[in-house]
Order: sequence, then C-alpha cells, then structure tokens
Amino acid sequence: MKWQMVDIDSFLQSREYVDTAVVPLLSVSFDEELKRNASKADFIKIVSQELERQLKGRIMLLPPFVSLKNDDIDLDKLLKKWKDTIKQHFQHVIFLTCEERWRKEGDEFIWIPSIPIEHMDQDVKRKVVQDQIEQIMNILLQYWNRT
Amino acid sequence: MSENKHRVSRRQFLNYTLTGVGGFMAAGMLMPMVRFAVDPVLQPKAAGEFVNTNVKESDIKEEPTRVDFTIKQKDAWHEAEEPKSAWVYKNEKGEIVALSPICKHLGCTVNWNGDKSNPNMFFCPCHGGLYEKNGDNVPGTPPSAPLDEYEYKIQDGFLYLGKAKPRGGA
Repeated sequence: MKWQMVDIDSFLQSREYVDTAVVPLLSVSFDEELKRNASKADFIKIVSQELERQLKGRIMLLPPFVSLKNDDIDLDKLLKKWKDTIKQHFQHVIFLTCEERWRKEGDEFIWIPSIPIEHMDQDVKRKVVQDQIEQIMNILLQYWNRT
Repeated sequence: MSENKHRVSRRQFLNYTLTGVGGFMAAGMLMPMVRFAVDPVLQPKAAGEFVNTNVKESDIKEEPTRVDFTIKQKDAWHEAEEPKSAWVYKNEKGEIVALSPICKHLGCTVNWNGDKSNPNMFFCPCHGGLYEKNGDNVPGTPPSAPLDEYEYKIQDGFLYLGKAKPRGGA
C-alpha cells in the first residue's frame, strides 16, 4: 500500500496484515554529485513502487526520507527517531537506499546498487528492476520468516 | 400589406428581441448541460482495448510463464504507463489461460512455484495464499476467491490481453 488516500482505507481495514513499512532514503545535493543523486532517486522510486506493487498487501510504502548531503545534523539520531516511531505501528521497518553512507548500517537498511537505467531499453529495464526486486524480496522473506 | 409589413410596433420589437436574446441565453446554459450529460457516451472506451504483449502464441508453454506488459492510464493530470503482469500457459486441452497475478486477499503479486513446499501452485509471498494451476484458491489459505482471468485474443500470432475478469468462487 502507498501513503495515499485510496490505500489508507484498505490499510485501516486490514492493518493486522500490513506489518512492514518501507522508507526510501534519498539525498539531495547540487555539486558534482547532482546527476548521480537524481539518477539514484529515479532508481529508488521505480524499485520501491514496483516492490509495493508486488507486495501490496503486506508493505506500506511511506514517503521518502530526504536529507541534504553533508548535512551536519545528526542524521542517525533522526532516522532512529523515525524508526522508533514507525516500529510502534509496524513490526518491520525497512530503509531502502542507494546511498553508500547507509550501506551495511544495520539490519533494517537494504542497500541496492544504483543502476543508471534511464537509457535502457524497456525490456532490459524491466529485467534489471525485477532482479533487484527479487533480491529485496528474499531479504524481506527472511525477516518475515524470523517472526 | 407591404407597407404594414415594415411596421413593427414597439411592443412587437421588444418581444422579438427579448425572445431572441432569452433564447440565446437559455441555449448557452442548456448546451453545456446536455454536453455533460452525454459526455460518458462520447468518451472512447480505453478499458476494453486489447494490448499486445509481444508474446508469440507458439511460445506459450504448459508451464505458466510471466508476461509483463503496460497499459496506458490517464489519471486527472498525469498519463502513466501502468505495469501489468499475467501468468500465461496452455492447459491440457491446449487452450490459453492468462491469469491475473493479483492475489485476491490484499493485492500482492503471486508467483508460480514461489514456495518450495507447495510445488506447481501459485504462491502469494505476503501471507502465504495458495492457488491451483487453474487459479482456484486453496481453502484454508487467506484468499477467498480464485485469481482473475484475462480476456485474450490472438492476432497475427501474438497474444493480446484485455481486461481481467473475476471467475466464479471455488
């Protein structure tokens, strides 16, 4: 389900089945990384939406958590606050990201390599995304089977 | 007579003008209303269209294969290509079956042979829903209805899919 009105009603009706919240992590900068960041944002958006489509009944895709690159606020603390808040309502919280800084940061972070898919052919694009989805799904299934 | 013809009294003149102007105003109000009323009839029916999946009929096997295609969808201010999938196979009689992968429980995407302990079945990874190969839901698992079936047609050897229609409950 998505963070939008049409889904919220069915979410409220079947809350006990939706036990996983997914938060995409993005960062914004205007330096030489600008293009890369935009491309990452594209990829994360496509992957998270496709993941939501395939696991609609069990995950809630929340709006992305956006931060400025090289921001000096304590991001980890802020993220922890997000996590703790969401955890009160969902059994699992997943942060989905392409950012290196959150690679191997902990159990709830799923890091995927950003693949520049913008110039790819439709079929190749679909295959690349599906491969990522399957990997993410495997990780999710492991979480789910643990509980 | 011809002299009288050109004589229009003040009263008549006012009558004509008011009727004319009033008529225009009424028409100006009624026309859009009528247009709105018949609008649904004039809309092109996008939903009933068949979409080419680029899958050759001869390539369809007895083992369900996933077919991905996109349909154009218009939603108020943006036009999007909505991704769709179908599980397509030929049954024992050689007929094509195209099942919608949308789980009838909460809308996840089911997978063929997705669970090792339940081979030759459609498995929903979200809450363990199971469906037989023909799409019937297995009692005792969360789904309460069989998978929807796509309307299909074969054109120039390619598979075209239409709307997914619910089948009778099992």
